[in-house]
Amino acid sequence: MTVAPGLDTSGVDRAIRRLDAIRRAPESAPSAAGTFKEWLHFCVRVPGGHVIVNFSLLERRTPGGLAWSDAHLTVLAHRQRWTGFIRSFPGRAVTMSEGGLEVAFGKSTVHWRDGAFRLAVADDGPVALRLDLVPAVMPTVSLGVERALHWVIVPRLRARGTIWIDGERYEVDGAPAYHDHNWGDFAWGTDLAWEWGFVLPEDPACPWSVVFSRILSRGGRQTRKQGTILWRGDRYVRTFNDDEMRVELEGRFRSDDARPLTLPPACSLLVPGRASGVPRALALDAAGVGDELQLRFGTESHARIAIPDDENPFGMVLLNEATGRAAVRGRFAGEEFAFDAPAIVEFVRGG
Amino acid sequence: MVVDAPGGLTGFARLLQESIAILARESPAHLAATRNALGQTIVRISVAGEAPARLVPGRGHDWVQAAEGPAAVEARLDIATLFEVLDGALTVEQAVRGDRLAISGGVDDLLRGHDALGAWLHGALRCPSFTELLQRMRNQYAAQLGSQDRRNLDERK
Repeated sequence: MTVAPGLDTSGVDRAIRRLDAIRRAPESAPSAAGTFKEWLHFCVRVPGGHVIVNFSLLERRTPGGLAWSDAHLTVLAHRQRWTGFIRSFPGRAVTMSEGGLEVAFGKSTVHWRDGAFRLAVADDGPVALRLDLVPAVMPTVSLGVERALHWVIVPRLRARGTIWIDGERYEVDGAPAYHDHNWGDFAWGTDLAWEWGFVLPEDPACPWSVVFSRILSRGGRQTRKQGTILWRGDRYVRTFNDDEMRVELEGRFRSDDARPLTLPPACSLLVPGRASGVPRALALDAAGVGDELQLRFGTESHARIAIPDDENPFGMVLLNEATGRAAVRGRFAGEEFAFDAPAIVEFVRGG
Repeated sequence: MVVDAPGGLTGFARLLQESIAILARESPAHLAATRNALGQTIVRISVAGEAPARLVPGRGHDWVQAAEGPAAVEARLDIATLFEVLDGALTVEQAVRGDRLAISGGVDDLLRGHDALGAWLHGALRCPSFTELLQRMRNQYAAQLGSQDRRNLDERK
């Protein structure tokens, strides 16, 4: 692996086992607030597009007070068009052991074993895969306090294996991939939205990786917290925090031809339009202490995941997965860099 | 889980009644909202090849009748169209324009039906038992659909 020739693989193994372990088993007693959420997220570059896989366990509660753990798998693939599915699993079909990293939702699984994430999506839907994902960097962790969203990031991995999209088979070997793990106690639909994205260069010899995130008020008018994280090779090197960065959203993206894929599909009836808060472009500028970074992202398409609002029984929260190209340039510790690559930015919006 | 349904209901009518019973049990607020949206409006849904399901909102949760009778809103479609709408492959507008869904009624009643559908859907998304009900519905109709329709459904499951 060109980007991380000196990566301490045993250190990565220890860090993944310790930091990336499941925080809460589905059979656990309900949390005090009843709003605990946890998910494992993977994104893999395929020729001409991306595949997203998300194992999610959400504490849910109906307005009638019925509480349960909702385990669902979301799989999205984008090449010329979006395809994918979201599927719920009953408790008897779910393995998710607290403190471990052995997850099974039916026949779809993710395990950490021998220095790699072994990721499998069962072949009973439009997207299936069997991949090994080897970290190219050490994980980075961002822990909040109390009712906060915690975040473990492995921004750059190399993926090897097979992916089937709408019956077409793709072999990947060294494909750029991203993984993160979020958990926390928060309610969808409160005064919360976010924007988050990553850019991985196509050239494996280019050592730079970028992830940014912004926690916003529900309407997106106020920024609560924001940061842009930069890695060089296998090392985290810099975070541009809060006042060091500025983001401008430009225009409103509307797909030309069709409605965006919306999951679960029946939610298309509740959010029938094409626009859902995704900008046409995003411009991020960060600078401080002699370092600087500029990121320009242009949306080319998007899909939507609709999640029931925890507070408003007739509200929805939309997770917009936007694909496009990003151009990144900057300077760190006097070293200049520039690259452009396919990228994914997630725009979360209250419905 | 099989939810109790009144005797005499089969096919789509029985599944619709089960959905009402699930709302009553797991999210009564959404059933109440569906009832409030409909008011006194009675909706009849006719799935091709089946007895019509007449939706008569009431105090309890036995809303669905298989009997003929007056209805302020009438909807007619086939099962493939119903799945395509539920699966997001077809909008209600596209189904109507394509003559695959016929809806008739006064404007006020149609709007009530639309609002009731929204309330029912918000409830369906929040009730854990709907996943199993939808899967059972797919299984029930898979054999009745043509091979192409079955393939389409399998892809979207």
